[in-house]
Amino acid sequence: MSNLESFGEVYTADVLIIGAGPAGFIAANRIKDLNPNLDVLMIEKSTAAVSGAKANKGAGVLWVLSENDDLDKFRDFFCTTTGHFIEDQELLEKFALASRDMVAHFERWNIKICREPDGTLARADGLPLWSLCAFDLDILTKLKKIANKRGVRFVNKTQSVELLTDGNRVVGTVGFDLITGKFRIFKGKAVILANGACDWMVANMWTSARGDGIAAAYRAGAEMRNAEFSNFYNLGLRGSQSCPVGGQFALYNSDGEYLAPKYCSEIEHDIDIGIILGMEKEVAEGRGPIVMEETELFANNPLGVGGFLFRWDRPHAKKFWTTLMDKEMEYSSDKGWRPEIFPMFIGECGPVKTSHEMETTLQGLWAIGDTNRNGAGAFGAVPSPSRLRGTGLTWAAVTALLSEKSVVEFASQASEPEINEEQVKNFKDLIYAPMKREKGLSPRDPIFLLGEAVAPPRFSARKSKERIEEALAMVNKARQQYEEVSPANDFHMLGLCHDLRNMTDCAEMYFTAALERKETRGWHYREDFLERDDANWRKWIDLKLENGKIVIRHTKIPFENYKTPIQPMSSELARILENVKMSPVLEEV
Amino acid sequence: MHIITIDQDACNGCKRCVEACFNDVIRFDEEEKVAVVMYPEECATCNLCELSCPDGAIKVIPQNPVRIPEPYPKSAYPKTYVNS
Repeated sequence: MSNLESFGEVYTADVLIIGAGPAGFIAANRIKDLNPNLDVLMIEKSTAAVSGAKANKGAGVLWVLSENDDLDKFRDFFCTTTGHFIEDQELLEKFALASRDMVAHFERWNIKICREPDGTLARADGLPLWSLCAFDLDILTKLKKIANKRGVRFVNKTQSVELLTDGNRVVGTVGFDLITGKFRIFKGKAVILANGACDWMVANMWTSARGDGIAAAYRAGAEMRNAEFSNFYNLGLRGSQSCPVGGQFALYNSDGEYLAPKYCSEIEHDIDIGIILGMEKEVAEGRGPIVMEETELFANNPLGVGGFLFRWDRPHAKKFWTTLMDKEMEYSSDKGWRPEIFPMFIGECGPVKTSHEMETTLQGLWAIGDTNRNGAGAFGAVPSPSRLRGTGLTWAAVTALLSEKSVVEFASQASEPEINEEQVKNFKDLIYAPMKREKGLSPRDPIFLLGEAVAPPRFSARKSKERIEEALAMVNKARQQYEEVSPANDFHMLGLCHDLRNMTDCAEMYFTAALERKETRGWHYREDFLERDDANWRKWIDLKLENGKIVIRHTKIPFENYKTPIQPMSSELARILENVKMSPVLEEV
Repeated sequence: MHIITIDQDACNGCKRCVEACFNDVIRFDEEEKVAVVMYPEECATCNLCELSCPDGAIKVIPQNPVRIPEPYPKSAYPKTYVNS
């Protein structure tokens, strides 16, 4: 037995993929396409082919810039309405064009993409610049079938906690089995993080996204970018936690006043921060609660997602959605005529900074899918789904495709990883440290406290220096409570302890970057800095942990290379921002 | 907390529900050879366990309203609560 094996179970592979959701699977399958001799091992916290926060629990919509769509028109539209001129336009173009390759691979892998009767990719009325097609919710099963045929290996029920490093190179990961508690050491020449965003366990269908890979990369010294745009909100029904997508066109205040004209663009391709701020203003000024007129949900809704869900012959999606909707109706605690709507915080913190080939700032480490959704920089001043519904899976696929050559080249040529046994021992001690406390707090309580810091609109929609600092104080309290939690000898609870630690790191990144960006741009709204300030803030905010402290750097955006020139804020957006202003500001809690 | 029931007599021990759960709510009792609900606190009511069971042994019963971080606490938004 080697010394390493004395610590726990040792696994070795050429390529380690942490996270077996769609991004991870597509990466695995493409790496095997390009070099079948590479040994690929996927590490998954639940069971491969059932994970991925959205892949088998979402609408199953897929964004594509089809062959007939105009790249320039899309780019211009996106920069003006959504990215607000801090997007990486070159990567945005690569993303859009690669979406066509994604369709070709999916259809080669027997994943049916819904098309119009004339064979063109499906479209949604009201969204003329791109295609919004659909797939069935058994996509992960189909991707796993391909992976099995290619000889991809899997280790399930394993929580990867820390990354192993050799200088500036990542050489593996360590973690534990959630059932047996067994310590596991994974050695890999190339390591791909594909284990999702951080959504802080607030909204139900997104609770598996706990920032594992983001925080591990951060602690290993990888740089983060655009962490301030981690504040996605859907609309939610209080009584059932369901999300009426497009519902911003069906909202009323307690005076019976229709809200969309004040807080939404007349034609809105997806929800924007205006309605979230507007709802808050209505409630703060005494005109709450906000309710939804369900009969109007599809009236002005270009997404028409509700109609989309059942337009296609998709047996898995039909079964999933009819079951979910039937239960929402049966078990809702609000079956009133106009049910109450609340701002449902999702988050979508994915700030791992990457190159156009999805390489992080650590050698041998890539980040794909939701993990680098912000950090890659393609989408600018907006959290996922970047007001482009259906890009969740598109981004997962495209990032896998854009990284494939770089991963294969590195893994084919890299030297065998050198594992530092002292680092392994130290990580093992750290991972099991909470188990030494027989009694203590349940990790669920500080996890909820984190939710109370990130979710409310007064912290994540309408920001100010004072309230960001108030939120950071709550985050610090959660960090202190990590030292007091006890998993009560249970490995699922030990997992929650580490989830707490990871989500605390992500919250700290998010609010630190938000405090730094002293302007209002896109989804980052500061009531103490209401203007978009291109002279000072048309740049990227990068964070890095150095000697236990967060170091902030500003990076110039190479916009001289970009095709869409900067434009002033549209009059429509300026009107909405004027309408959402509150005076006086929120009363102190 | 949501309620998930497993009919132990109907359960055939296939483990599909254990594998279906993305939050580790359901575990498998290796002695009794049946699935058991261990961590209902993490249940997201996605219903995938119920949908994956070939014998209809699992039922997910959502309990609403769910405890969430309050978006509009009375202390910060007193005007909306004047009449409540």
